[in-house]
Amino acid sequence: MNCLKAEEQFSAYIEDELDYQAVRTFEAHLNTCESCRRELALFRESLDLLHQLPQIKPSTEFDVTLQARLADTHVESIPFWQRVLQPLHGQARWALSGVAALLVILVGFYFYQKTLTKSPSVDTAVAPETSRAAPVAKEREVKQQLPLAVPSQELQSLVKFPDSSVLDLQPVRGSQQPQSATLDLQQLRGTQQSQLPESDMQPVPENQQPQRVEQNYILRTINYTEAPTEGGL
Amino acid sequence: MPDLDDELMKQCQQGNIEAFDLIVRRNQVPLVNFIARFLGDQDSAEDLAQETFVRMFKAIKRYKSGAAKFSTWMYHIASNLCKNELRNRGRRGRFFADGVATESSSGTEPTEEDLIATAPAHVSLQPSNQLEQKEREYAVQSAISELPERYRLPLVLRDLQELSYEEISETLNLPLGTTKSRINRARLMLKDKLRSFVESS
Ligand SMILES: [Zn+2]
Repeated sequence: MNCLKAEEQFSAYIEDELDYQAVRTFEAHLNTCESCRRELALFRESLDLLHQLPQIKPSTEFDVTLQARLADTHVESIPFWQRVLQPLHGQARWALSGVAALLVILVGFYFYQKTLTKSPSVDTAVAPETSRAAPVAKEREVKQQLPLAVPSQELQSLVKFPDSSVLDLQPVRGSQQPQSATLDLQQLRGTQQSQLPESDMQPVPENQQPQRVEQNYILRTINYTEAPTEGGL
Repeated sequence: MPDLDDELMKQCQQGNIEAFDLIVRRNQVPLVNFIARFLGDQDSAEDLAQETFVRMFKAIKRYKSGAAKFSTWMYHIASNLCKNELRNRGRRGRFFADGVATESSSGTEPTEEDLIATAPAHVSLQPSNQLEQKEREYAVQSAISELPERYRLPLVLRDLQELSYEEISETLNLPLGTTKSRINRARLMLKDKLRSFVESS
C-alpha cells in the first residue's frame, strides 16, 4: 500500500468501515510510514474541530418573517395524473394504467398510419433511451414500427393526449380523493408555480415535468402509466 | 421507526395545517445551521431556510409519505437553494469567506475587540476562552468556505448535520461510493487547510 491509497481510506478506517484484511494492510502501512501517521492524526484533529463548531441560533426575527412568508403562500395542487392514480390501489391502478397505455398505443398507431402516407423520412432515428420501468414487448413493437421523426404539429397533438384522456377518467377520482376540503381552497393552479423551478422540489419523476416533444414520446408515456406513483421521493 | 416529521406532514395533508408550525419549530435550527455553515453567512442562511420551508409548504400535497425520509427531502430542497445562491454570487462577483459567527462585515481577520463584542454572553466562559473559541470557529468556518461546493455540501451534511452516507447520497442524488469518496476527499482538504491553525495552537 502506498500513501495515496492509505489516505483514501482514512474515513473508512476511523469509521470502522474496513474489513479485517483491509485494516491489517492499512495498519501495516501506518507502522512503516511516519508521514501517514502524522496526517492521520491531523485528519482526526481537524474533524474534532469541525464537530466542535457551536450551534448557530436563528435570529429573533426568523419566526416572524417566516410566518409572514407562509401566510402569502398557497399549497399547490397535485398534478392531474397523480391525483387520479394516487388513491387507486392494486388492481384498480393496474387496470387504469393498462387502459391508458392501450389508448396511447392506439393513438400512436393512428398517427403512425397518418404519417406513413405523409412523411416517410425516418433518418433522425436515435436509439431511444432505455429508461426505468421494465420495457414490455408492446413498447418494442411500437419502437420498431413508429417512425421516430414525426412532423411537429402532430407531435403537439400527441402531447396533449394524456391530459384529455384523464378528463375522460375523472369520475374515478371524485369519491376517493383523500385531501380534505380545507386544503382544496387553495386549488387555484399555478399562481406561484411559474417562479418555481421544479428541480428544487422533491426529485420529480420526469413524467410530471412538462412533456418534452421528442421522438420517444410514446415510450415515455407508457413508462409513466406503469410507474407506481408512490415511488421516488 | 416512524418519523415524527413524516407524521406531521401527513397531518398537513389531511388539512391540519397547524402541524406545519411544528415542523418549522423542530427543523429550523438544523436547517439554519446547515445553510449558514455551507454559505458562511448567517443572513442569507435565514432567508434560504425560510425559502426552504415555503417550498415544503407549497408542496405539502406532493409530499409522499414514507417514500423517503423527511429530512432527506428537506435537505434536498435546501441544497438546491444553496447551489443556486452560490451560482448567483459567482455571477455577481461576490464571495464570502468570512466566518458566520464572527459577524465582522469586513471580511478580514476579526480583531480582538470584534470577537469579544460579538461573542455570546455566557457567564461561565472567561473572555480569553471566548476569544480562543471565536478564533477557532473562524478558522474552521473559513476552511469550510474555501472547499469547492461539491465537496463542501456532503461534508457539511455528514460532519455537521450528521446524516448517514445513505441519506446524503439520496439527498444529493449521488451514488453511495461517490458520496463516500467525496466526503473523504473533503476531509483531507479540510485537514490541509487547518494544518497551520492546528500546528500553531
Ligand atoms: Zn504513508
